Amino acid sequence: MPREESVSSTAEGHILSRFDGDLGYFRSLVLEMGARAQSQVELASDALASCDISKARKVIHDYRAIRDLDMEAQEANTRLFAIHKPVARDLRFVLTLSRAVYDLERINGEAVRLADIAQGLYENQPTVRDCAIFEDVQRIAVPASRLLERSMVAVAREDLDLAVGVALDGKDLENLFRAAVRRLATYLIEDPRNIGWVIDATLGIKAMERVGDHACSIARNLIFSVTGKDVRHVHTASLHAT
Amino acid sequence: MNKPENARVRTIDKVKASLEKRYAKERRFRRLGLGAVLLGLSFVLVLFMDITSKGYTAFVQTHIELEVFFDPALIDPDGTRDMDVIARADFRKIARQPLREKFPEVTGRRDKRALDSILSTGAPYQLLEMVRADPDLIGTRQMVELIADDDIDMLVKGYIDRNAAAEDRRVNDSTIAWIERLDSDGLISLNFNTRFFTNGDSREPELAGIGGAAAGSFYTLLVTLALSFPIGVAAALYLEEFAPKNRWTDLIEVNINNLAAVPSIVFGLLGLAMFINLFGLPRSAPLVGGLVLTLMTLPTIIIAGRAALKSVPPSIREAALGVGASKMQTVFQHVVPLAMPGMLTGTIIGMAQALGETAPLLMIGMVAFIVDVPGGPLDPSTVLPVQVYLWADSPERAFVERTSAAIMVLLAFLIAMNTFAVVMRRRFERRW
Amino acid sequence: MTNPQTVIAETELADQVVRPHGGAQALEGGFQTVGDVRVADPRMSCTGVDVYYADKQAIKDVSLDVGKNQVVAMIGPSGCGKSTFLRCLNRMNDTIDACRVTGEIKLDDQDIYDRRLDVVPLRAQVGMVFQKPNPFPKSIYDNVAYGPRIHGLVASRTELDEVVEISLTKAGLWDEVKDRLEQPGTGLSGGQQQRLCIARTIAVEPEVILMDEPCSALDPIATAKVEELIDELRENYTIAIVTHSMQQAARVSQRTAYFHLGKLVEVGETTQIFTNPRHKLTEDYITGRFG
Repeated sequence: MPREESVSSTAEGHILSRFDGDLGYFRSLVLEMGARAQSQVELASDALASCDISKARKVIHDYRAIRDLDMEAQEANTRLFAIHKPVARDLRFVLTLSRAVYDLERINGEAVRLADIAQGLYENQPTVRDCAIFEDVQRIAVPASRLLERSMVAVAREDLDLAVGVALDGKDLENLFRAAVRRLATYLIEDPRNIGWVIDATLGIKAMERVGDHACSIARNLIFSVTGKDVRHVHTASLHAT
Repeated sequence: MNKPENARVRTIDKVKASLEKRYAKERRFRRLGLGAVLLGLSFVLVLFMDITSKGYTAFVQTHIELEVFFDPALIDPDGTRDMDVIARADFRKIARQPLREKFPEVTGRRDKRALDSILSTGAPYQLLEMVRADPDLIGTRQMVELIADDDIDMLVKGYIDRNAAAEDRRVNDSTIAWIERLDSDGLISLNFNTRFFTNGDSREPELAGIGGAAAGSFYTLLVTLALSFPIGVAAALYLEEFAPKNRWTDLIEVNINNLAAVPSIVFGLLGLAMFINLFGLPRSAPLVGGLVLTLMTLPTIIIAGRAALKSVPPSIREAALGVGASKMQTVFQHVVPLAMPGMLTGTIIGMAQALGETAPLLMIGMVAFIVDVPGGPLDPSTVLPVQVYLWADSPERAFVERTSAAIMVLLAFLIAMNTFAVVMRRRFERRW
Repeated sequence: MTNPQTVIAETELADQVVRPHGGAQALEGGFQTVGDVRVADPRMSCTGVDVYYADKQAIKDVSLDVGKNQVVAMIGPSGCGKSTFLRCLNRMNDTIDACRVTGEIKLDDQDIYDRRLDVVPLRAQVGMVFQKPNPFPKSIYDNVAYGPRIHGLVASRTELDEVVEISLTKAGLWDEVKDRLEQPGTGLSGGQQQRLCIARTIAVEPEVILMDEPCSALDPIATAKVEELIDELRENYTIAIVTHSMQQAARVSQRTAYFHLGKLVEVGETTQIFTNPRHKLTEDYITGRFG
């Protein structure tokens, strides 16, 4: 399908300037949440990889601020529906943003979980220093974080192609996860006494995998916003973009 | 916060400063308006007072109570009670008798004639009517209130100055002496002048009445109403509802408006040329008068009718059409009932105007001297305003009061009709 | 423990991911209305309708079906021609001298602009409710009875009483006025007057009811009652409603048609129009980016 001119954004042009203001505010809150979520994820995986407890602690500490942001976003969201009763494109975009809020809050939760693992690991077992093992976590965390970044950019720009790209790349993350689990299994086979931190590592990469999932969810919601088609449950292979 | 404060204060001051001027202007205007209204009212008041003061005496008439002997020898010598014989009897002699008996000292032809002329020339007919109504009166003596002559009437009502020089008076000293004697005997009375309303015109003022003219006006208006209302309403309906909106209908509309401004005497000439000369209709008849006045009131009715129709809101029409009413049903079942009060008001006002028209009726001959009260639209007659005109021309003093009295009657009718129109309009004013 | 990606049948996924099209494409030349103008089993069917007021063209080449027992809402900015189009459907535009209508409008396969067609029974089949309630200045009974009387739909007084009662009941007004049928219709409140006008319209048993902004002169409670009534009437009548309130169009109709400068830009199922309109002008209008 030939590329058509990009759809104008929902960001401006409304007769009622207050609508633009309220929508813009909600949008900026969501983008802010996205940025913070991304930095949380990166910080947490960094903490695990570089055995840095202070970073882990920071992640846990910052969670509160993000929860406040979440509540503000919810309020802005409710206001938009109650007062402005959006329809069509505006309605879909607002729905996308509110689902993104949920996804981002969950991402934060996963980051905190990872930080928790890191903290627990290095506090209780300072001798565990097999960083190679935790590289796997990084190997998942980095692409996951990038997926998140790209999906937030897609939301910011309402960029359909970018969102489709994220949705397609989500499949790769799944493969990475499976590979990582296999590797971790080998550690277990090597030495069954490793089970403690293998479980922790598994939980850690699981958390990252979920981050990737949520990022894909955000992207698919954006596809719905732009096109009106609900593709959240559509098989990845059938997603034709252009 | 200083600057905005100052700015606000200044505006209020400006407003207050101009306020005095504005109020003064309004006060001046109101005074002017009130003054104009009062001026107009005062003119009307002066007019009314003038007419009323001159005319109210016409509603009473001097009568002299005398004992009349219905001499059978004069009335019905053969005792046949034959009405034709009775009608030809010399009632003048019978009427003269009582006064001659009262003033036996009056001798000499001239004096006797003066005595006789105290009574109206209509007194004998009074007696004839009495005998006609009740033939048993023949042979009896009755106290009858006979009509006095108009000079006596003027004397009694005080219009003749008793102190003026004899040559300047219509009534000489001896007559005055007789009247004073009769008056001291209590035989002179001022009775309500029913003849004013029932009689036709007469050369004798004491016998003259507006009955003929009123009947003539009635028949004329009847003809006018019967013709102008249906034609006017139908024309208004057609022009407003059914006629196509093109140049021709615009032309018609302009012409109708112009017709309303044509001088009324032109319609009289038209009536003369067409109705009387061409169609050969009887002259002086209310029929012709009615036809001429129809032509005159049609523009008024059509214009009022169109305004009433225009004032019916289009939402009523749309509602009727929307339910499936045809154009005719919409017009006759919805628009006309709502416009009818306006059309009727216009008609009444048109009739009131027609009542007061004189010039066109003069042209078609409704100016002749008609004595009999007309019985129908084809009998020759005159109308009230013309009667006023005719009486105003007469030399007798008694006609002055009669003219004013006739004007009062005419005004009373006009006020009544216009008041009726206003009341009707108020009552039927609809709220959509 | 990945999220199971539900695999939908291939056929369903044959839909391409579609971008909304239309852009700022001008409505000229061979512009085609977006969406399905035709329905299966329409009650009224319009093809290529043009309406001219003297030299000015108010409606340009509009084709639209009105589905049986459905409510179709017509929306658009002021002056877009939706009221003009509505009035064509029962030939009310005939009352305006300068108005000329061309094209084909069919009621159940009968061209209503056929020269031989009598417009009076047409208006009994296609009734109209106006923006400002306009009951006749007669009694409530006579208001409703007028139509059946002039069309000769009843044979006796008892039949007429029945018709009046049924119509007022259907209009949701019977309980409020049954004890005062002789009182003038103009003495009712605005909402009641409008329901009286609806009762008057349905008393002649029309097939189609046209409504020209029926609630714009009413307060919110009266509006809600009339909207509820429209929903109930849908079972037995076909309804076309012009409204300037998009929420009302969304609440009340099954199909919505968007008019712009005399052209029918888009028509479609109401839910689709309000969640995912396909033409940019439609979307800009309903989201409030112009109007």
